[in-house]
Amino acid sequence: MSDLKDIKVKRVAKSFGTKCVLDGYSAVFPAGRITCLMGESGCGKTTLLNLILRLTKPDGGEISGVPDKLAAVFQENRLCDDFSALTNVRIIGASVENARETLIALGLGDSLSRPVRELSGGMKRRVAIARALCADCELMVMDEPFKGLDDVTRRHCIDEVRSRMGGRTAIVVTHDREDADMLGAEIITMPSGGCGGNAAK
Amino acid sequence: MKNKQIIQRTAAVLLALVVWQLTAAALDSKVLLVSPLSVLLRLLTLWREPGFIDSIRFTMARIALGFMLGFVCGVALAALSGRFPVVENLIWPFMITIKTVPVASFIIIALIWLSSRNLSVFISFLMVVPVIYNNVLSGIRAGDRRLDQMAVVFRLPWYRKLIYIRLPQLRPYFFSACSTALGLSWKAGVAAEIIGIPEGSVGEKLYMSKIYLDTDDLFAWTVVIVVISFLFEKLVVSLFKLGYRRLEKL
Repeated sequence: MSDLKDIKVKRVAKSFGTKCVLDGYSAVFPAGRITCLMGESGCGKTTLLNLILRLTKPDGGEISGVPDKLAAVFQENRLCDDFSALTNVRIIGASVENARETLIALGLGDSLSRPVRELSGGMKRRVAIARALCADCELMVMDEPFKGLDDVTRRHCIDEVRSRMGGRTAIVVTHDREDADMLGAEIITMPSGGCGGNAAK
Repeated sequence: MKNKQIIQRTAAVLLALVVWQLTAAALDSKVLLVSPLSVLLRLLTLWREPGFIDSIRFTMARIALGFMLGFVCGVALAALSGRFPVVENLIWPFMITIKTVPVASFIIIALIWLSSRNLSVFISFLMVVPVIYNNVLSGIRAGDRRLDQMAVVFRLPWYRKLIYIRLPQLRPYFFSACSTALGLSWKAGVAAEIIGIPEGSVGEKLYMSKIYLDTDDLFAWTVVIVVISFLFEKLVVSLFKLGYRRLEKL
């Protein structure tokens, strides 16, 4: 992790057809820290994450400092429904011990062998979090990771995420300032989306 | 609901048998139409005749080989077409030709190239390829792009992507394709044997019963083909299910 760099987003623009989502947006996500990205729905947070994850290309501007080893908790869980919770975490190359221990820590000890399709929404969310936590990565991107979790579970998961970061850079999208505070994260608030809305600051 | 369906279908089969029996009795001609009872009695003696098992083995081995080759080829071509659209365009004329040209034409053309003993392998193969190809390609195209993105982000190696993402997505397409292709491979394979008349095949037996107007034999062998085709389909589908169950326990 020693060569981690800040992730610099410089004047990034992105449109989908005629819909302009990002218009010269700039931000810096410090290396080895957790940064929470906040903002109204539709302001381009998920689009920005997809650009950082290299899942889409920007129409303009540049993003630098993104390492090769990535992990993500997507807005949807994106799990392999036919396979067990344990297998879903092991898929990314995690050891059995690490996967098991992380799932147990997230309160899924009783559901390790159950196919993911049989789990509740909150349990699936935790499997997705466990998968990201177990990944051999330098940057973790989490899109509303605690959405749909009850208060107690949410707090517990936030504690686990914070304690398992291990010096990695993390960008977490959330609508809840309390999440950011509990994570000990810096907060970047994105202005409203649309052309002219989130121009470089 | 399921019990009701079973009862209704059993009743439908019994009704069909009664209609068949009554029609045969009305026609009163063993050449035109034999009764189901006669077919049953013929079946009871047929399986004990020398060469019965050998004929089934001969035909089954060739059709199974044709099916397997067609399956592998269909899956490989679908995978290539899914990855490189140019492949789909390149093989499009072949697929259209196979689908539109009557199977009898293929059988006669293939008889010029191949010995009649191996004709059913080729014809079964030919019938299976487009069915497997189209179904598997549809499965690949219908795949969840979001899971593919997950695989990209986590840098999943190709074999994990295949086992954990692609094969589960293809499951319904495999089952549907196999079910259709197996039925086709038997129909076309036996048709090829009837035209090619390889010695010791089921097709030869059917051909002989036609020559000698032995309608008892014709119906009995037809029943044998239907039963074996049905069992073969069940076997292949069961093997697939077993494979998938093992996969889910990985």
